[in-house]
Amino acid sequence: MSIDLSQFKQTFIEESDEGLDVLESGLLALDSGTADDEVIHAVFRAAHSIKGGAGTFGLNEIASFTHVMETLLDEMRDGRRAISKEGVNLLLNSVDVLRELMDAARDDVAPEMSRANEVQAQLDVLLANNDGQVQSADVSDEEQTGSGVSNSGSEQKGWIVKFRPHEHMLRTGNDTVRMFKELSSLGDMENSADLTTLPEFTLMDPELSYLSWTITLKNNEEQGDIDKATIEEIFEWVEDDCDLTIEPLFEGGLVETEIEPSEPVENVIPVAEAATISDNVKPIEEPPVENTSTERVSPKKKKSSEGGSIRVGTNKVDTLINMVGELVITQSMLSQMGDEFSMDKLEGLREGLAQLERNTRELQESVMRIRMLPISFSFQRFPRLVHDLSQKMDKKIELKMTGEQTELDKTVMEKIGDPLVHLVRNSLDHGIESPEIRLAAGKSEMGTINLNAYHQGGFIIIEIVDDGAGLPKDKLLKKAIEKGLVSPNENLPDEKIYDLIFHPGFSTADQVSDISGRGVGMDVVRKNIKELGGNVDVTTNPGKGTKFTIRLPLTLAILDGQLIRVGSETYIIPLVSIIESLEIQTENINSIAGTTEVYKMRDEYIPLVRLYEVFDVKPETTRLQDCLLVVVEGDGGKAGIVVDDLLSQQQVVIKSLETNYRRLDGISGATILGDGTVALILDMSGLLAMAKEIEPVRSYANA
Amino acid sequence: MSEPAENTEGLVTFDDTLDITMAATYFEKLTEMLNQHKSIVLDGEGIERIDGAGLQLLVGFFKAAESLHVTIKWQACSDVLKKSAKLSGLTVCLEIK
Repeated sequence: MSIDLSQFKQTFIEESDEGLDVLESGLLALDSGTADDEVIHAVFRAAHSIKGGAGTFGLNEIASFTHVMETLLDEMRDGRRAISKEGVNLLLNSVDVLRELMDAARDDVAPEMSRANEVQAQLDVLLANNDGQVQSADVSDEEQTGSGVSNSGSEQKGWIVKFRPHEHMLRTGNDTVRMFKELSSLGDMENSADLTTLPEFTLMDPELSYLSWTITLKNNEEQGDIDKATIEEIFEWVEDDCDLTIEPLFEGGLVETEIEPSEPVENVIPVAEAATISDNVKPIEEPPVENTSTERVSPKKKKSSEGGSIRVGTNKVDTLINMVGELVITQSMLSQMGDEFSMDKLEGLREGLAQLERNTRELQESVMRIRMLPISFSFQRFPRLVHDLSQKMDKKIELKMTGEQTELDKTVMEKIGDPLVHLVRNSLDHGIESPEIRLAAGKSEMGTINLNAYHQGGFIIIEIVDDGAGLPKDKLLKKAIEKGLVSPNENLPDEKIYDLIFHPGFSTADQVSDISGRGVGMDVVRKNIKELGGNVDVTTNPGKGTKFTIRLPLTLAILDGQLIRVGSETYIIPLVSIIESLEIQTENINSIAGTTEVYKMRDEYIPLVRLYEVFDVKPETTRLQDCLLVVVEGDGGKAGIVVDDLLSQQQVVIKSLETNYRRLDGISGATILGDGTVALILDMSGLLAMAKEIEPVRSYANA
Repeated sequence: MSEPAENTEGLVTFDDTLDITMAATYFEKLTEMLNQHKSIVLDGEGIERIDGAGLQLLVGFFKAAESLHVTIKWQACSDVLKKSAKLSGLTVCLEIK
């Protein structure tokens, strides 16, 4: 019975992604010298699993490449080879190659092999180099290289069949010649007989079997790829009467599965005894360096995990099932109440509906929690990033991470990855000084970058903190004046000066390097974060370090909203943006320069935003004293939104306007209310920016 | 095995079948030839069927001859014999060309 393995391929690739993470983190631990024996075993197991799975799914490039990695890891694991920085770095590069190959497999395209071949050649060189080996003299050459075969290719070329009949096999009526004949009909065959177990002639029992064979079966163009099952079929009748292994043959050599310990030297088949059985047998081909032009080559694109799958803990699923159970009970209760309703049951009905609301909300939260993943999924790339870049820049940098288990929505996590990388690279490149400068400044030569994550309200806070030189205030200000962003006489507070780094096109010339300063700028980082409904701020302490703080909503799908009314329109303000709501006291209203209205709230003045002016809708009243004020915070500043009425608070499911209509300034999305009407969700940052551009047409005085 | 007693050339002519059913018979015959001759000629032209047991018998015979310094040569080989030896990876050790 054949099984369609392709259905499991995606699962294999996802598991392999995890395996690669294990490989990478293990290798980094080995590199830093903090690893115990179990780490190298875990790394080896991860490579071994990937290789085995790849072979099963016919991903031969991956299987072949991982085989060479595994050989090196095996030597390290057994203590035959010292764990060197060179070896670890090469293995880390190999992890990168494997990721590229996995991406190609995920996209079902032919992988781009040039880098893989290059790294594999380096691995082969390292394996061939005995300098790092610490083996004892009694280990054979064959054992040193794991399989004894250099595996410089990647494409599966056929199969290697190892066949050792049991002594009695010939007596069962089965004939080796017939089997070889059938095998030879599948492709190009080479057969090497092992005569070493043949006894002295006089001691032979001519009906017993003494020989064994290693058969190389290669695919040919005429017959196509040989199916393993077809080979197995040939040996079907003797499976209990022989020892049989069938292993994939790769370009340049063996082999997919674990190689058994090599035979003693005297048992190795003499080369002279190997015979070629087919005239059209060709030497084993060297691996092609380039793909043929007809092959689809994997584009060098970023891995897209959007639309993929996520692993969910069974506790989350159990909670979900419990919630659904309770919902069903409540629904039954209400249904029964509806069938036998009388006015004396009104209170019970209300309680039932309240229960239904609770159940629905809990169910909603449980469902949302399924999409929540620990931010470690995003953080785990940084040890490698810091390792590679600190080596490249000759800096000594320690990365410390806290709060890796802090959860946030999968979509948010996927989208915050690049901005986070940019900020960390910036800290590495511009923040942390070189060891000499640090020592001269009286600091430890080892710089530190802290990545922290924690929940605060409905947000996740991510901090990137370095103990570097801090931002150069004077330089920033000078550059801003040069660019005309700031007038020379303007007296900017420090935080506004530091905030200039997020201004489009703002960078100082000596900030540009190949680590950062190219590609997306800090303005794009802030833009991307804002698009997620979050924000990023910077604080710095000259000579002490810099801290970037990212604030992100936990999810993009649902938000707690305050429904407000302006005229006949209903809008939703995200609850997390609201500081407080109050009745307007006219004595607290002031006007700055006769244009901007501000409201004195305790010790501060906040600008007023008349929503009906911004959105050009007809209000119920323009008299501020008859309106309510919703004090909100957005984009680093507070504002008072003038509304006609406050309605209820509720969770709303966010529908994208961009998907269904187009992007609108000041609006982050829409939702459908209980009565079926559509309400727009306000984007506080956008709204406040819009309000600044609107010339007030009246002040409170004309109210 | 004792040294060959005679210094004459022996001839072994195989019938049409050299398989497991005939292996014991030919084993005795070949053993006898090794004991009697320093040089043995094999005629395999008539072989129409040979199996793994037959080939293995020939391999054992060639190895024994080598260790006893007995010269073996083929007078003729049938296509079946050549092909079967080739399939089994035994042409070199059976000195089949």
